[in-house]
Amino acid sequence: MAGQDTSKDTKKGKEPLPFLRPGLFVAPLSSEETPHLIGSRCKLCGRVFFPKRTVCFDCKHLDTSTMEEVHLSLKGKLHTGLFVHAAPEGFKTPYAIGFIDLPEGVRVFSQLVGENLSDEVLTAGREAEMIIEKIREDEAGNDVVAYKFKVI
Amino acid sequence: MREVAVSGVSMTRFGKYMEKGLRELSAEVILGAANDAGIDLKDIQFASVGNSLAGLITGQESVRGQVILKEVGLGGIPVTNVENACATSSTAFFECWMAVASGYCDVALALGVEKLFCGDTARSNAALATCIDVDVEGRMGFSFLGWYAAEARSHMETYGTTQEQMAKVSVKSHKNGSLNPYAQYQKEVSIEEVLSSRPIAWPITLLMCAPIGDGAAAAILTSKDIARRHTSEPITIASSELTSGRILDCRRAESAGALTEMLAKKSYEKSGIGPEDLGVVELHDAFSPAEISIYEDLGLCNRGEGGRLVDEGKTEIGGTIPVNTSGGLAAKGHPVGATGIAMITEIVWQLRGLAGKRQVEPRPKVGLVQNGGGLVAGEYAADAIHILKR
Repeated sequence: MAGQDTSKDTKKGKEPLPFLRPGLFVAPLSSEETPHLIGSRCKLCGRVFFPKRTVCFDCKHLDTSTMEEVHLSLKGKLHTGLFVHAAPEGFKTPYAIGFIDLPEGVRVFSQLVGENLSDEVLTAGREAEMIIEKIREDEAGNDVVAYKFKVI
Repeated sequence: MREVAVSGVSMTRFGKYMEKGLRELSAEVILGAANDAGIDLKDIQFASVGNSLAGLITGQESVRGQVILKEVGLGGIPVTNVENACATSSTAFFECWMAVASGYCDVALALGVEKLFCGDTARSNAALATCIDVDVEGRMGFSFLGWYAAEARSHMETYGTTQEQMAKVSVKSHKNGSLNPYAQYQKEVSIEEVLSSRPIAWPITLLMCAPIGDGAAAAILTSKDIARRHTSEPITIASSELTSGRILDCRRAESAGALTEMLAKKSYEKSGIGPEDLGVVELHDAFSPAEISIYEDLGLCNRGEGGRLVDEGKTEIGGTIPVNTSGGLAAKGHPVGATGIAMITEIVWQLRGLAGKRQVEPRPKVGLVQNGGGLVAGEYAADAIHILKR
């Protein structure tokens, strides 16, 4: 199940489906599979991007075949984490957000979950692992499912 | 490029106007700015109309400028519609500067207008939340707030800046706002009130946040020759700079330096004016803690000394470099698309000696406006700096 805009087909109470830009992540269809974020690697310089890009920021090569799709690591380290007490509609406050540095050299924004989270424990360097979960509700009240990071 | 003058400015008081729309708010400031410049509406040869969010709030998309200008009988001239989040009307001003500086025309109108109150706060907030990359940030739960809070914490950890110093910025803004009849909030607040107001995202509390609001501001830009017909002391644009955020990632963000610092250096080089020459500054305090790091970006003090600048009162109206004499975004208000030209209006009034109870003495010769907008990949999506002089 790749992230795509299928919200129009859903009604409240039915199986949650994502309402997101397609091609950001892959959620597992069975318990044998693992989820992952979809990125791009430049074949010329090796730089990795998330979300996937058409052109490398450095090489700016005109041939798009120099970019290849890659699966990003599931685990990374927290760069910043904090609680917000105000948010647009659809998000239940307070909730934690942050940036996670993945080993590929990519920084990803994500909501953060985990046990006993507080501003004090969301310190830089803590390990976090990507999971697929409800991130908010859309305007019609449907659950929106996407990636989050669980602080370990 | 030839020298360009800001010949006329005007703004509405910022606030809540349930009985007025974009057209009514705009008409007031277009006529005000034209009167101030001593020109007729028929003299206007180019107009750039800045509005950021009315498309999402009222449904009027695509041709907002033409619809608004029709209200004052302006048509048959080139009109561009501009949006650049909170830097929207600085961008309109930049376009007008280019039009007059290049010699394309002699008289241009820059307008910024926004109406965020629509009877549905959730709708206003949802519209504001689109000033970022909605795919990987907005729809995932990111907002300006998270970014400003993270930046504030980073400043605290790196330089020992305190939440009290950040609260003092808000106290200063509200004090200045109490002296400004155009401010949305004209009431002083105490440090204790700021610190004990509702927590939003530590260290940010409610009284450190710019409110939503309605308002409009306009400027008439002309050649210096035309300006001289009306005044012996024209206010001219020493530099007009606009940039988008750079493409950074985690390997570079830390070493790249601040976007505003880079833009300020460019502005100082182009204008031949340095931070030591500035007599007054308006800067983008969407959240009060940001003001402290922007002092440093602009070179008003060394890196890490922003908090001390506040403690020493140097950026108060009686200080060595007064900042946000209007009350800033926190007290004057922040109708997104009107903010940039309203900041420019305050500086023009200060340079002319027309700022009333909040007038900086002796009357400043040079002023700077910094206006940032939106967020993409960890930086402003748009950042503008204007330096004005007399």
